[in-house]
Amino acid sequence: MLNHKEIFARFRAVIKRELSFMLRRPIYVFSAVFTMVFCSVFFFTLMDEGAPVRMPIAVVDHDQSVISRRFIHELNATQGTEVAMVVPTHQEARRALQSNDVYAFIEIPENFYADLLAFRRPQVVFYVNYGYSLGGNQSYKQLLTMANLASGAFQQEMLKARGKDSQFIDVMIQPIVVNGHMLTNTWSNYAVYLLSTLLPGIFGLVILMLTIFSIGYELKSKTSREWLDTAGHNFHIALIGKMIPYSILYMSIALGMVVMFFKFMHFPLRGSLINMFIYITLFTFAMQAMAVTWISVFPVLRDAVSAGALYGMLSFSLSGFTYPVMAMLPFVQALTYLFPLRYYYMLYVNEALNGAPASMSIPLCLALLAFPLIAVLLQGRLHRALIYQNYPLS
Amino acid sequence: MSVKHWFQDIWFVLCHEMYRIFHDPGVSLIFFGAGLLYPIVYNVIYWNDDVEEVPIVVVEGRSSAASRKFIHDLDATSLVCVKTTTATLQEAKKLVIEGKVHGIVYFPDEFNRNLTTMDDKAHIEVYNDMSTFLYMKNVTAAVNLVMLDTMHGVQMGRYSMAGMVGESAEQLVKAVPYDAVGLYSTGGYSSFLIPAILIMAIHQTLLFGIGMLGGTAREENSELYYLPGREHERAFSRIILGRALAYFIIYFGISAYCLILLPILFHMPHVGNLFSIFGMIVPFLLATIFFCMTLSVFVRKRETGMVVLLPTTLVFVFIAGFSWPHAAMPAFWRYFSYIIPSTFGINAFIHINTMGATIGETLFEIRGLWIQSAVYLLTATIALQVDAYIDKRRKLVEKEEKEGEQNNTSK
Repeated sequence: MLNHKEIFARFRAVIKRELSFMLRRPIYVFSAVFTMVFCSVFFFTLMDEGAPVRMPIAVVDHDQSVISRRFIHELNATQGTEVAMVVPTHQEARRALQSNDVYAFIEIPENFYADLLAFRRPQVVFYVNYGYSLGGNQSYKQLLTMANLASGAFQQEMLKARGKDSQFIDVMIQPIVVNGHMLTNTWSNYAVYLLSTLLPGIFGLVILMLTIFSIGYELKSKTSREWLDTAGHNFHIALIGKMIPYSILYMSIALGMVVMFFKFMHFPLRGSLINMFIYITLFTFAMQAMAVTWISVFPVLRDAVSAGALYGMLSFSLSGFTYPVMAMLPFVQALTYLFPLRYYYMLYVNEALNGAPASMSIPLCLALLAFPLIAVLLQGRLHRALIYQNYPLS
Repeated sequence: MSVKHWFQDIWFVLCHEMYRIFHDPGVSLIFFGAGLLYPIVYNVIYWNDDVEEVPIVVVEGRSSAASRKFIHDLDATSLVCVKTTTATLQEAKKLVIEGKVHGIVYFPDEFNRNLTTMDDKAHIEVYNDMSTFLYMKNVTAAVNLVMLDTMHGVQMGRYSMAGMVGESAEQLVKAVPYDAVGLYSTGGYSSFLIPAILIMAIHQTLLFGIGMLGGTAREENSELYYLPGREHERAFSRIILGRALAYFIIYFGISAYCLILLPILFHMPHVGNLFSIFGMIVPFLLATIFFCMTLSVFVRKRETGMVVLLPTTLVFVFIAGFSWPHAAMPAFWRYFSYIIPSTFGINAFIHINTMGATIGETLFEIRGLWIQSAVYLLTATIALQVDAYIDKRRKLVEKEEKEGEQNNTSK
């Protein structure tokens, strides 16, 4: 058995060796930091305006009356849409829709005003481009509201003409009101909901690739025996010692990310900042463990990099933060448990959005802590590969 | 050099590149494994086009016929399902936090009284779980749909009490009837996302595959700018064209599979005509191949490309402006997005395949792709020439050093 001093000395040797490797090839550490900084700047400036407001729409005005012009004016005044163009023909509007200049258009029929006055119920038609989901849905919502407001406005005029008082008219034209509340994310900000998981997801991808590379490179350049020698032929000291400098780097990036989200960008946070930091740290450990798993399964750098990339890209879809897991096929739902990002997303929802009790977060933390166990199961395979270097190297 | 030889050399480079691709399991895995399988995997993940039956909880202060009808109608929509009812808002919120339901519809005590007496407007409070946007979208849409329906019923009832019945009441309640025509797609999540994923799969597998081939060549010390087997004979245009042609032939097949066969197999929108789709595939592949060949010059190691460039995938997806509309994007990023072939590729493909546009109707994107093809062909050539120049200088320096050493030792 080794005594504490020896273990400590070996760890120090491995860490020192790794640090000198990191300094000799700064491109990899630099690319990790650069990727995170660039992505943060990119996504925050891209989604600067939060929810995409003011979708451009077109109006085909066949009527060209006082009322149709007022309708267009009102439509332009709503906060969700912007009347980018008023065109005389259906074809022109359709062309604008097809070339993506507008997300929807509304067609006001001929004699709209006259028909309205004569109670002939002129019909308006909206055409919505669902090829672009977000823009189309947003425009549709606004147009629907406008059409109902138009009917309401007409009733209002009619009831006024019959001498009804304004209180009565008010209740008559809108007997039911729906008040929407954000239970958790008080911003209703698309950026908050997207970036709070997307950026940690990209971070996880960086960790995965970099960790696979740092181990796989030892195999590729046949330095793995020397690496084991430095650790006194102790596989665990070699592996953990190699991970420590990276873990510290990742924890600092994670800390920066948590501070950026909740302190500088003021993302809603019901629970505590420290808990969020703990969760994202556990997530970084889990991603490192998955990287070790992949290099153990494929102890060849290029194969592990390819496999890790395929796995890493899937985590964005399977974590369920955009498309909910409940809508996936049952066996796909089962697969989602193999992705650390899924647990991080659930922890984020619990802690930051819901302020849920710890009893709900502990099982998820335990799940993240279980990822290293997968790596432990395969450790013999990696250990042998490090000793024999018996896999194709080119 | 005769034209015949020139073409022979291109053919020779093409065959050599094909050989390298098929004898490199890593590249084969990316081109054929990822390029062919990934689109299927994503189709399986997003199998259900849209989210349906989001579980919600209803809080009724005082149960009444009106609120019961409302709840029944809510449950009948495909958007949500009423999972349970609680007496207090507190309990309902707890259920949301536990993740059992994803929205609360709360009817205050006065809901029924207000509807019957007309003293005041009746209120419905909706509390949304914001963990996923699609939950909120469903709950809001369902409540609004049922609300409009109920409202029209209530209004009709009131006008008929006031002596207005039938057509004349309808004329007031629905003075401006509307009809909504959803074009090109169901508005569902997967029929919107999958077309973009298909283009991204082609774009990124080309990027990583060509990057890997470039890095491998470097590691094997067979420089990219020599004709294979004929070291010392540098040939830029022949090598670039020959290699590009090899990728083009392979990816023409993969593109036909991804962009024509899969949409049919998986019942995605596919209304574009074949001529237009091929008219888009050709410039898209050329632009992407030359773009990737330009970048690959900087890849010095086999795996570096993938390790460093993998996160670009997400940047490219979001900058393309299909999930985050170009209308809501800062001008700088909008112009920046025109550098990347996938931006035009995704939009052109959505226009043609989902919206049935012809080449002429999506000219902006197609023209962009052709311009990119030309520009990146030029940059790929220049990058290779610069690379050759740097290599030459480095070798010269090394040679001088060696000679210097020899001189030193001989002295």
